[in-house]
Amino acid sequence: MRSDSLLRMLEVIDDYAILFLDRHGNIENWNKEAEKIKGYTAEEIIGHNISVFYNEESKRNRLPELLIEEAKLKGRAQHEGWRIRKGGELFWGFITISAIYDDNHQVVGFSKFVRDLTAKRQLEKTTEEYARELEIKNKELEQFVYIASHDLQEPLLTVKNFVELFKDEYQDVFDDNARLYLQFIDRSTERMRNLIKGLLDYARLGGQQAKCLVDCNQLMDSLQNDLFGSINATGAEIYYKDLPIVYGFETALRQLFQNLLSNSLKFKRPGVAPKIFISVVGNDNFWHFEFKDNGIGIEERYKEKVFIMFQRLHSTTDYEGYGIGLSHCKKIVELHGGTISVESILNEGSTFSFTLKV
Amino acid sequence: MKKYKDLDCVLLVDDDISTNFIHRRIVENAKIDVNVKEITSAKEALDYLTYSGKYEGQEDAPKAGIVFLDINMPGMNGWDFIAEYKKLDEKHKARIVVVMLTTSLNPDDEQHAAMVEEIATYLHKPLNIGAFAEIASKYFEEIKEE
Repeated sequence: MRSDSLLRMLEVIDDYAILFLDRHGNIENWNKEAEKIKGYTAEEIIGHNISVFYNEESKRNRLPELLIEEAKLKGRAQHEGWRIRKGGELFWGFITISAIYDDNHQVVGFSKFVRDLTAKRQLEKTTEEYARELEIKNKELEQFVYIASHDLQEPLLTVKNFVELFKDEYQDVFDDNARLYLQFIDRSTERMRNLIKGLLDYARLGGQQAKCLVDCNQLMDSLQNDLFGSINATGAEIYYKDLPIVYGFETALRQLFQNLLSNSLKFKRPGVAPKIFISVVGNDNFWHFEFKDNGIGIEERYKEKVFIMFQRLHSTTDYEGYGIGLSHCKKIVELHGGTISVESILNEGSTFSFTLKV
Repeated sequence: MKKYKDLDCVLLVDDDISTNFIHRRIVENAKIDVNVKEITSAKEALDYLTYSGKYEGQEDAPKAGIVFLDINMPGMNGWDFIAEYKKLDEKHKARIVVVMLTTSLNPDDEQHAAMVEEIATYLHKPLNIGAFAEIASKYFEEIKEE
């Protein structure tokens, strides 16, 4: 087992400190990398117990002994944690201790592999800190959108109120031109009110709500009721069955489904009744939903743009709207750990695919 | 009333009808003898310039001298329009001055516009009489009545 050639081979392995221990955890052999990682030369360390690498707390908790015990019982023990180099410097080690048996299956000693993961550990810590910072920044941004849009509502409301007063008190003296101007003001303030509301709703999505089990079949049934008017008017047929029960934010999911459905009803081809197919495939991690319609479709180059807030593909004279629905859908899907995208053929239809984490 | 050579028509391209309305008033109040055509999409503006789509066969319509182009429009936006405009046959582009209009306060847009040869200048909305008169006199030759 511990032949000379094997030892020579182990001698030159990089990144891993390789030690051979006797049955009590005393060091019998030591490769070059071990000297580098732990700081001791072979002469200095051979004969000492591995507990020299552990700090006082670990020793109090009998960690070195427990690891040896575990390796003896199970054949192998692994541990990741702070260890001490010669001179007292700390490093983050990943340790694997494996039992070595004789011909009678008796434990005669152990091999111990140690990897110095200090750099990786620091990188992980930096990444964690970065993620935390990002989360704080995101919260701030949401807060900002919320406050800003809230404050924007106020002067807008003042404009609206005074236009109403103006109309009430002076309508006798208006000519057609004046009425046209007021119509422009009305339409613009109404539009702005809706845009701001869209922003506010976006900032609020998913906040202060608990996740629960949502039966997508029931959700679709009730949405069909809500959208009865436009389903009836367009002669739409909607197909779905055996939709799953998912765990998520109920109001948000309802909005997601409703936005996709009403888009399919709205962007129908003239003279063609909408056909909407909803299907789902599940795996261990995700539900993959597909909403497929036979509507006007989306040009290839706008496939990303449709999910951006306030981005529209059609003028308000062709299709009324604010460019909000799909940006909400994107945020809702992302709240559920998923992604959303669209595939489409112009004048044939669009298929919106999204995933929700199981 | 001033009259400029080759400035028969001002094309207003903006998806917002009220903006086009205001801009029409401004152009009309500038005391310049010129037609105004309002168009609500970049696609239709290209059709107008190339006599295609709903403008097929309308070669007699007043020829655009200045295009006031909104950047932020649904579907094909101002930049997309420029990309398509670059590809047009010279005979459709001849004597046309494109002016970008925006409500955006984003300096990147202004820099971008400055780098595009086809864009004569870049203005913040709304257009005003002074700016319009200046563009007309800068790019077109006044026809003096004898």
